[in-house]
Amino acid sequence: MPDKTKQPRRKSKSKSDCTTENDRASSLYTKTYQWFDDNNWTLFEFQQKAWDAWHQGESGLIHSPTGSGKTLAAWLGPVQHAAAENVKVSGLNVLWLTPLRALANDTCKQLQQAADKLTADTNVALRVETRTGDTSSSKRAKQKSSPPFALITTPESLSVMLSYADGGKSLSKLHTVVVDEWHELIGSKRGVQTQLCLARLKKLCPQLRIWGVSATLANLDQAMDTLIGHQADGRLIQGVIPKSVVVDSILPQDNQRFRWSGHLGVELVKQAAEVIDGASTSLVFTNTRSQAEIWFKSLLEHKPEWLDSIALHHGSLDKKLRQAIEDRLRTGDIRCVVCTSSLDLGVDFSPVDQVLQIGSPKGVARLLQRAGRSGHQPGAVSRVVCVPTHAFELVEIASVRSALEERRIESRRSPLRCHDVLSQHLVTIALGGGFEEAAMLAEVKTTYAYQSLSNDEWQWVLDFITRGGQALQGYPQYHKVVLSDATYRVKDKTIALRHRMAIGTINSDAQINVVFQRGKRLGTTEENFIARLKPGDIFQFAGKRLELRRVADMTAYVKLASGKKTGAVPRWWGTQMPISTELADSVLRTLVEWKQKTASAPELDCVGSMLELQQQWSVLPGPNDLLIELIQTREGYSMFCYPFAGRLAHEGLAMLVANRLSAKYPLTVTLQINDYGFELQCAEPIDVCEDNLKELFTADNLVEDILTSVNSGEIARRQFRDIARIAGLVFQGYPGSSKTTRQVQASSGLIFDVLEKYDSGNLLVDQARREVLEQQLEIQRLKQCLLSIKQRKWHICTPERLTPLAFPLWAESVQSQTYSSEKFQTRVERMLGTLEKAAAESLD
Amino acid sequence: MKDLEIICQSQELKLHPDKVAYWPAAKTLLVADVHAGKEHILGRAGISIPAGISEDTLDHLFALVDHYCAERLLILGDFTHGYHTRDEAWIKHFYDHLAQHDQLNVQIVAGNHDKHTAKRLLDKDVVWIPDCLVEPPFVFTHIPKPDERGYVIAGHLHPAYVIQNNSKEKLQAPVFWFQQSMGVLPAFGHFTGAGKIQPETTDRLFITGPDCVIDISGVTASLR
Repeated sequence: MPDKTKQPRRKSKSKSDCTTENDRASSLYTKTYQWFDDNNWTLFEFQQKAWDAWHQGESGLIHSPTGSGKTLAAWLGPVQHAAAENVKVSGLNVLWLTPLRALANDTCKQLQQAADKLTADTNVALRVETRTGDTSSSKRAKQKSSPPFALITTPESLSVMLSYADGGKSLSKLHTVVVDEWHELIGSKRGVQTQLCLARLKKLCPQLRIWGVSATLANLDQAMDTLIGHQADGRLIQGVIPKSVVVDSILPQDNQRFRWSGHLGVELVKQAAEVIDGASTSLVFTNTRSQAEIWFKSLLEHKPEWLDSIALHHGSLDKKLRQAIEDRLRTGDIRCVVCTSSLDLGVDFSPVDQVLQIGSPKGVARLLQRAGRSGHQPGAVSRVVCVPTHAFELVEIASVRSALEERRIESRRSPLRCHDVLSQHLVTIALGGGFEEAAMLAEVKTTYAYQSLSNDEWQWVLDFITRGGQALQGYPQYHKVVLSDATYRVKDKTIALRHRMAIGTINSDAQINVVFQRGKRLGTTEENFIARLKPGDIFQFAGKRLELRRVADMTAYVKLASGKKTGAVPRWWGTQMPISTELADSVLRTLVEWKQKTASAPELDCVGSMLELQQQWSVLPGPNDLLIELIQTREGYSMFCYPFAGRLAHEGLAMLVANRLSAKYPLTVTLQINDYGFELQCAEPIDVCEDNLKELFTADNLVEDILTSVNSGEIARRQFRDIARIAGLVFQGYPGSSKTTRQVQASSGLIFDVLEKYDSGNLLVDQARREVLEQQLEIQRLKQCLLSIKQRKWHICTPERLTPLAFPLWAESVQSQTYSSEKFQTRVERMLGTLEKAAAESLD
Repeated sequence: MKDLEIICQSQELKLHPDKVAYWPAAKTLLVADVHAGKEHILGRAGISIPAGISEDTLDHLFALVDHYCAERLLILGDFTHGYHTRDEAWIKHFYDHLAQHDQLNVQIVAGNHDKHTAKRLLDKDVVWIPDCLVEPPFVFTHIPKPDERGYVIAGHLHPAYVIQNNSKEKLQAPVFWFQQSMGVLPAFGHFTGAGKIQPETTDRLFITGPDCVIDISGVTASLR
């Protein structure tokens, strides 16, 4: 990153230390050293190592914090090679994969600038271009006839390239692929898609070098294997030691009794505004898009004079709006941007000198990454100010600080054997010239994600893409992929067109465009949010108060609202991230240290009285305790349990316990979960003795029992949404023709029900269950949790009122789930009974 | 399986948990929103939905005809899902059922989904009613809107209701929804989805469970 202010002078010894003995090699570096010297940049040892490894034809993974020059470490090898005198450059040599389309243009400028410097005074000109979903077809055609030296693209666009029959030809000169921000991709299905594409590229170009660039993860070796293939050798290159991060927090005023529950945190807006005022440019990260909208509104209400210097940035806003904000961030012409993970990644916004995190940081690595968005000035530290949304989050903040100090950072792992992604990829390759079965299977199995793919699974996927699987035998007209002369190909043009449009694994639901009546587009929101509004209703979107005028053809026409009336804030579908194991463990450790008076943090002092109450009324759990509280409330009888294993594992655990409980006798249980524990609420008291409870929490029969609960719950249907879309089971329609395609849109939930009933062997349904187990419920974590619970000391308390730990669970009412083994009639009558009773009471 | 007898406009109606209503005075089985052939529309678009769903739905429908010994089957719109071709298996299946019920009078009110081909495909043995059928005290139609000629019985909305009491428990199921001037039947098709309704306190509401229909009209009143 040629930012002159960023890097201090190169240490003189590094050149002689690191250069290989080889003369040719050293001559390769002459221009690079010159360029670094001219700019007074430090040449880091890891950069030299990366270049050396590249010139020796190796693949590998470079990990280093943002802003440390890892881009140059990955990029200059190929450039040095091309700039050497005896090399003739032709065709496309380098593919640069970026997880975010929005990053492509900035990265392109950066790479082009470096290439120009190193090729100055030579007759080589290296062109760097981008190719994403936004690239025009004429530009693409030009890229085909006269390919650039390097192309910056996304995993999805790479898939689309592979789906053209001549894709292989245009990639024949490729010698290097660089995957940027690999830590962002690895844990997702886009990462799996990347693995499959890379396996394809290796087949097309056997000499291919694959390099990844990643932030720090706990499982770097595995991350590298996932990138370059599990059978290949690679070089892991450790970058510079990360700059230090300071974690601060906004503490509620002494006299203010801070809320025990909540997730907005806007009561601290005044103090947050002061913090923002104290720096020239701040990024305010929130955990959800609605939270971002609400914080933006609150900040503006508090400081109306900031109208022109504060902005909102999240994934549902129109691209042009976001682009404009990013440009202002780059120039520093903005005081504050309220954003979501939409700004987690990306080129450095150097002017940002402070980051605020609203609500739980959820994970150590995540906070580290967000903090890293600030402090690019020389000698600066990254500073992040955490804003708690409820009292217990203060403990989390203190814990994340100590986890950071001890460098306990999370791992990220690739999902395994995703049949949906494989189905999509096989259709892609069948389009791009076709494939032969044995060779393709061997290729797929070189990837980390599919190394354990069984032959049966492979046959099922082949069957699915050729005949639609078991399900589609009744439809002679349905043949996505056709086998002829031992090669699988796509022949139908409509299928080809539709498939290319559907490539991609990022989930998106039916979205409604939000547009001003005069035509300016603001972004998108989910259909069911708009469906609840009537024309004339006010809602908050894109940081504006809008009045709905009318809805037509998947577009909501709006105007700026007049008057003072406030409106609803849309809620976007999306699962909330769980707190990481590392952070949850750290929270428990912090609690013990607080009890032993060995922990000291301003946040803990602030919540001291609340922790004391918890201790007085019940127990303050540590890593070796399991606390269960049985509390009677107006709504019924509740069991609160706090394993501190993160919301996903808690969901599984709550489902498991609810299911085992309802198998014993007919009852209806309502579940509520958060990152610390879960609540089961019943109309009748729950059987309480320790032996009974231990039976409910046993790890025996875990998988069977949890599958039963998954089947009776909504959760597998929820997970199926993504799978159905990726595998092409739901069709999102062509852009601009949403109305006419409505008839072929069935909700994935309905499809799930139908497949379950009529096609019981469907592997996609199976995959939905498996994903529920592995990703949604984190079954491994759940199992460990159950085993560790067994070893812990059990505290079964019956507090007279809701404790500080119980209160947030009790107060939360969204996303609760119900399990019932009661007869429908009994249940309806009981519910009506309580409603009537409540109505009668309210009349008194 | 137990149906629930209600009185509507002085007429007895039997509401069945399988989402049909029987009108004994006219020996008529009322059903709405069958959406037969939906899987073919999706299948043609390359979306892999198992075949045979519509056949099951139709089997189920005629079993209910037999159960009530109905002499007339009145379908309140959206019998089909879209543009269908004659080779789709459910069409033959439908005619097989008609052949076995040769005394049955089948009338279909055209729904918004039927406009493409339904009439073209199902001309023989089926009476098509383009707009609505007036049979005092009722007006049978597809899209519910008040009609001065009588009490409207319609479909189209796929009504479902969520019961929520003061704890966090929620229960959603399809409902028969009888308003002041019109009644809406739940959707019959297996593969159709639901629309949540917000009834008025004066509405009558009957929720369908796996084996019973329950009058929950009180729920709307106690929520106020």
